[in-house]
Amino acid sequence: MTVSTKEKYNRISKYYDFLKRGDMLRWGKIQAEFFGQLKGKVLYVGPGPGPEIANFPPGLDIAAIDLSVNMLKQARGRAARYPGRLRLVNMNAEHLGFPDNSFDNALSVCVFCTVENPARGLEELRRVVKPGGRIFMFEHVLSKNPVYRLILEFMNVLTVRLSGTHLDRDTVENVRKAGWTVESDRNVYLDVVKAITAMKA
Amino acid sequence: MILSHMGSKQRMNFRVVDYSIGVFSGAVAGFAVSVTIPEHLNMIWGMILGNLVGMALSIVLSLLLMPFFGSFEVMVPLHLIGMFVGMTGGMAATIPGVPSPSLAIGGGIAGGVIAAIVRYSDRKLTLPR
Repeated sequence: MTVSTKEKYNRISKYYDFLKRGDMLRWGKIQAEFFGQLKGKVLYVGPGPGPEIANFPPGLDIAAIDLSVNMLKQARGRAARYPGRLRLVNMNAEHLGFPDNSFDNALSVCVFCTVENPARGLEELRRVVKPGGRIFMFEHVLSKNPVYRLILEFMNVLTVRLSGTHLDRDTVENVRKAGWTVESDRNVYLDVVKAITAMKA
Repeated sequence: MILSHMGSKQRMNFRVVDYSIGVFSGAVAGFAVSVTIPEHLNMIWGMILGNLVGMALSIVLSLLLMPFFGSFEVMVPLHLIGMFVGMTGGMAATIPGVPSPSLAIGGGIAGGVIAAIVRYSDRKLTLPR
């Protein structure tokens, strides 16, 4: 993630909940079921203002990292209300300040479209997750369908400039390249929004 | 773990919304090309300009509607509608005597059909594998 992307997210932090409202209405139930698989000590990458926290199962020990300080400020209230332990940390996913094998699971929600070097970020996550641990990703990717692909590539020109969001990434392949074993990649909307589960062998 | 709600995922709540957005945006795109593309213009130019008008409109409508109804669920069908209605409506607008309401109605019907096709495609793609 570049400095300019960080600044963009700092700037939109106050409106981010509003911008995500529709997605939360659509995906809330699916996310709650998907996140239900989280266990133990969890690294939550890119919480933003934390709209997904409400869908987490209780009792987890979560370290939530975000590059944007303003986003973390917005997330404080939700973090405080979470029925478990949730720490907010200002950190870059590409340079994690955690020791090796320190988390049971990692989670990302629409983050690896924005991380500047997704392969590097996914390798870092693999480093800090314990062997046998899993990464759960709720991410959007580039469609394999040529028509949807065309639309996403067209919109990508705009979204990269507006928010640093890339709509043209093959995140499932990036997960594999980073050394994870992909267990499932289920389509949530078309083949664009996916719930991905991968294990560190 | 199989996500049991993948197949249904609150579709009942958003079905009407998705079709309404499709019909509305198609009608708006049809009307917009009818008032921006001049009659007697070469049909190819009408198609190209109509496409540009339709896509520009899709971007504006997407930005307005996404916070309320979801990013991708709004953006993908809206752009398909903008592209298709813009091109075909742009060609039709170059034919003398075609009234704006006809293009708006045609655009609305096309928008509804495209919304239905995208929903069908979504159902097929989100079925458990």
